[in-house]
Amino acid sequence: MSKRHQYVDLLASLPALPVTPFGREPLPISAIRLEHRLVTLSDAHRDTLEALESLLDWRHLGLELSTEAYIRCYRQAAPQLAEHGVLELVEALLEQRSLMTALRRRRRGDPAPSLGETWGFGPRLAHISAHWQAPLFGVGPVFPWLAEAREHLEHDRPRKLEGLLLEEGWRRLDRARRHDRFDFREVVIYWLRWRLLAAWRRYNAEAAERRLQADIEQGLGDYETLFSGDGN
Amino acid sequence: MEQLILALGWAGLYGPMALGAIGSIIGCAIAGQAAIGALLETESGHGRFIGLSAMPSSQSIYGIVVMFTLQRPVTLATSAGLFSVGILAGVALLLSAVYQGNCCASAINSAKSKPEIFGLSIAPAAIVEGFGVFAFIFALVIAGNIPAQ
Repeated sequence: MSKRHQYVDLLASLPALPVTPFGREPLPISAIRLEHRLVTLSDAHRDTLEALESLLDWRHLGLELSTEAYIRCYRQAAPQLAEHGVLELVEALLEQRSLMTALRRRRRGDPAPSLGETWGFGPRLAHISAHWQAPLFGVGPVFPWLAEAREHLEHDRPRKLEGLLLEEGWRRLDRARRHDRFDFREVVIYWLRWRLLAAWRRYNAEAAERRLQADIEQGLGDYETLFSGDGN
Repeated sequence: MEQLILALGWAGLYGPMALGAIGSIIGCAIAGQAAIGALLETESGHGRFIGLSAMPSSQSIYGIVVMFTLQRPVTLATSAGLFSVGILAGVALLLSAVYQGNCCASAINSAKSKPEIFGLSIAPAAIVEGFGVFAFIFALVIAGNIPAQ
């Protein structure tokens, strides 16, 4: 079987993902079932997927990881990802994160990164540094979502910002799909889209829990101490 | 040289059958794997997925019919015609079977989660089949012009 059809059975066994990631329906396939289906990947592809996961999942990286250390991890994994044709999918995501970093740093009042400083990914880092004071770093036409992201960041709308970034990632992955192919790259695109979907569902669940907690506290008012056992 | 021409004549005679069968093997394997994958994700309609995956097998049958139509003594006079018609018809059948297999795999992949588009999703595979039928029919027509001896 050619590479083009290497995973035709695997991809046909995965349920279609929704058109938009913002629906309220449950995940079309659970993490356990997806993991079970991905068992059919070859050893090399399995390793590549694990390398990708360790690069994208903060649970693996830890929140204390420095940018330099992260870039080292990326450079270590990049040849393997490039060999299997999935590097460009990660690069686009990392460039998006770099742009958000630039927006946050500027909002915090940081000066433009110096020429030798390692602060992000992508071919436009020098351009962004050179246009630090421009509203959209001179790359607005290349990244149409950037203006809206800046608006949300300026007005402290983290949920909307998260939604925008997720939607942009979803669109980018949707555009990268090739419907006549059933290869590893398509498996990775499916997996990345599933991750976005799962992240939004989780985010919604966490937000709902926080809202419920706040409502309970507000509703209890002065009786809170009574139920907590501190009241006499 | 004479031996080579005769060998090419024999290749042309058996070509449509062999190439058509190779195409069917690849096409049915691609579509068949997609059908097997879809069985895991669907509760019903399994038969039609398996049926659709067998669609690229028709090219083998066309190849057999072309081979029998071309069948005649392989001589210096007939070899050139047998080779040209047989091999070209065989290549056309091979490619149509492989690409039909791709179309069937895509159709199965789409129709598994949206059963209502099953009929429409077969249309591209049917169009590809149409071109295979063109190659088949006109191979039969043109075979009549190859000398009998």
